[in-house]
Amino acid sequence: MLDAFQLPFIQRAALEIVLLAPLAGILGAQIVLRHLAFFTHGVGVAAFPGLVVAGPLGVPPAVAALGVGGGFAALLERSHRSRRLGADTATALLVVFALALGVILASDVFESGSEVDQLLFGSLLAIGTAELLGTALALTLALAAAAFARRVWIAIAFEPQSGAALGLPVVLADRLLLLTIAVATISALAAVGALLVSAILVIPAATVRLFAPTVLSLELGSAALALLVGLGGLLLSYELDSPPGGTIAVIGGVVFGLALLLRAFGPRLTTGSHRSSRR
Amino acid sequence: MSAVTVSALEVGYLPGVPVLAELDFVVPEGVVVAVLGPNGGGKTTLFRGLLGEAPHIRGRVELEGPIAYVPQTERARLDFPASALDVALMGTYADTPWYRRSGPRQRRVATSALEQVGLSDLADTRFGLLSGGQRQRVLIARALSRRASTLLLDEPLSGVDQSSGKRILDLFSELAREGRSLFVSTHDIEQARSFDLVLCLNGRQIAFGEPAAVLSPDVIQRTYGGELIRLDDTAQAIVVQHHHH
Repeated sequence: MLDAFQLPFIQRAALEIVLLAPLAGILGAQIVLRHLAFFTHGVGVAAFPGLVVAGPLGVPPAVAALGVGGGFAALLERSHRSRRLGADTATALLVVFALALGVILASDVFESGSEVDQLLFGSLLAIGTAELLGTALALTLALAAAAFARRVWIAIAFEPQSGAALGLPVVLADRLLLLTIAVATISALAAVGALLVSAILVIPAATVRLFAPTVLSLELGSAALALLVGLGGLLLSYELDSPPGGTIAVIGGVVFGLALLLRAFGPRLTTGSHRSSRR
Repeated sequence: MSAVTVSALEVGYLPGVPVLAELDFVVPEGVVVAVLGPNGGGKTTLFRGLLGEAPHIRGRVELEGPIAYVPQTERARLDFPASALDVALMGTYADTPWYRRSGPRQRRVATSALEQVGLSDLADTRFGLLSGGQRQRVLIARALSRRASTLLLDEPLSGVDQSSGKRILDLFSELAREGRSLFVSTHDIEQARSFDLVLCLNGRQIAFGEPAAVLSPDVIQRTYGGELIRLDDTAQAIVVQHHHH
């Protein structure tokens, strides 16, 4: 089975997963702690019409996706702050709009040339140097952003009200987080597509979140699980001749389900060093 | 020496529309101030105004030293993967340059803050597993790690059992003895009588001063209006809270 790694396109796909795994750790942890899973999914879907029109307009797909997905992220950031329209409602509206627009553009309006299913579900086996470079850039941005703002992200996730009172640059850190997630999401589109971005950026972190006692263990565990699920899904899809994006998402979902069962019926792994006494 | 001086302050979120007006008081170092008022009366707005988070329409606030906010424990995430020490460490984040990790110095500050609130033996326990009273003390430790000389506490005794409440009140006295000033928002008029000073709010400052002088039936009536039920002809009264959802 491991012979598959001799093949150049499998090697490139594996390298893409190796680059995506730390993103799943650094950002996945924040996504589940800050309840940004729907936002992440939304950015992925919002990029879809951008990808559809990229070819006919002669724009690099990553730039078109970043333009549309980034615009979506900025709109959502505003809706978060105004609170007039709930963030989840705003996300749902934009997701439906983006998906419908993408489908219409892909059908008749533009001679896109892109396969819609590739845009929606990724084409991990067709990863090229440009995509690998894009993911490496997204990882560099995420590492730099985390070096600057990780502690602020953690403090806000724990209790958002006191961030500013603790002397922390809350607004700047928040915007940086949303921007970094948007860029990471766009970088993962080539591998897992607009609809399955959560398979890499959300599901591993959501799984490890069930057990992790600290944020650091959540980050490391999510990265490790994303790597395992990603490489496992890649190999299985090669063996079964199934689409790799979908296979990774299914394995991730099954592992999450098993973790949920373990959490519900297994030994208690999530407690701290000792239970408190009321006093 | 005065810790907080507020002069002719009006706080509001829209230009020219004060939510809280006529604020004029001086709080010396080392006292506990009860902040009384009905829901929507301006207790939270006062805190946000002192923190500089809510715009000052007019007037001014002078603070001696850093100020910190201690939220109700329910506002914090109980399922968050953090120990009591991790939470106390958050108070040191602002003083640690972004390019530096939290090191032994920050850990010492956070550990001594936990020690001060009597929780050093539970430093490694997950925050969400602590009792309500213990969680409240961890959040106070976080404010102490910030080296705050003035603490704003949002109903720290609500939802806390009596013995935990007693410990928290003892802690308030200890912090005041060290020279810190504490603003404690509460609905408990009887408890407010045991504090050094009382500030009554209802859209504006109704009264400020020592409890014996301030908490007259008339002031309590003007502070709470329709939310008050008088039990007898003395100042004994309870507040009926109308929660706004």
